[in-house]
Amino acid sequence: MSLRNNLGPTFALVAFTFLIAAFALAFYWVPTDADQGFSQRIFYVHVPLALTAYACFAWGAWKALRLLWTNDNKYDLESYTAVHMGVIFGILVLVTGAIWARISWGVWWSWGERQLVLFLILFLFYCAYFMLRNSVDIGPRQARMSAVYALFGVVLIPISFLAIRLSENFIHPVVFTRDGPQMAASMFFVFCLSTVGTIALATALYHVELSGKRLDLKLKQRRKAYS
Amino acid sequence: MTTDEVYVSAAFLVFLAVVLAWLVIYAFKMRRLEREVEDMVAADPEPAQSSDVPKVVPAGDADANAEPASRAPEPVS
Repeated sequence: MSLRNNLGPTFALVAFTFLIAAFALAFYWVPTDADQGFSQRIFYVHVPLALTAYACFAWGAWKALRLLWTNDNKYDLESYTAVHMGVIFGILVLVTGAIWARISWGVWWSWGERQLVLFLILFLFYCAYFMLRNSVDIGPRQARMSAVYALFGVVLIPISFLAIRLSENFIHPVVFTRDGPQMAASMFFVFCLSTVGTIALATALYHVELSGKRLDLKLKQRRKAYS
Repeated sequence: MTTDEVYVSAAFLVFLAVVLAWLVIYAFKMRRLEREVEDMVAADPEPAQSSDVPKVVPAGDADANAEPASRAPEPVS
């Protein structure tokens, strides 16, 4: 059996190992932040989730571009699955961010923060992707329309990512600057562990979901051929 | 537990809960697909002949126009 056929379980194992290690270290090993105290530990779950959501949307857009470039419909399911994973991780970013905001700022949400609002726009944009997709009959037209939409959404990713640096309100903390990460080496190490673990988890879920969707599609096609 | 610890634990638990929910939903979906495959197999028990696999034809029934099968060279005495 080749590694390619076992990508799902391999990434799941990597995700499990890295995330367990990262969460244990985040709770019991890393020093407590001088400014935010214990609540800063949400950083080790919130930021990796956000980076993973961006990566999923970018992957979906890349597959959409491949579909439009090659006209090969196999990329449609890959793009769709990646966007779906991005939305799941987007929900987690919003929920963990709201919890962090409640401890640090005393509110669950701040409409004045561009970073938050832009991420919400990005998230809602990709939620609308499913509405568009389900409103068109299955076929090449649906695949192409979904691909164009997924490709447009990717423009929002750098805007959302850079919003915090362009923001004037500045409640949302800036950790990564041009001078590098503004944190202790141990904190950065745990952050990297958590990021790798979260991306591996997303990859594992992506492969499982993609296999399921491919099987579902084949069954539908077969049923259609019989009827 | 302090308030901070409760909130931090909640954030980590939300993450785990969503991943678990995804696994449960996907387990149900896979079970449904498995049932559909079983139904399909029950309705059509004859395995489909793959176009890639050549049919095995007994030597006596072989078509005269068919390409001769390659034979191993006979040993030279």
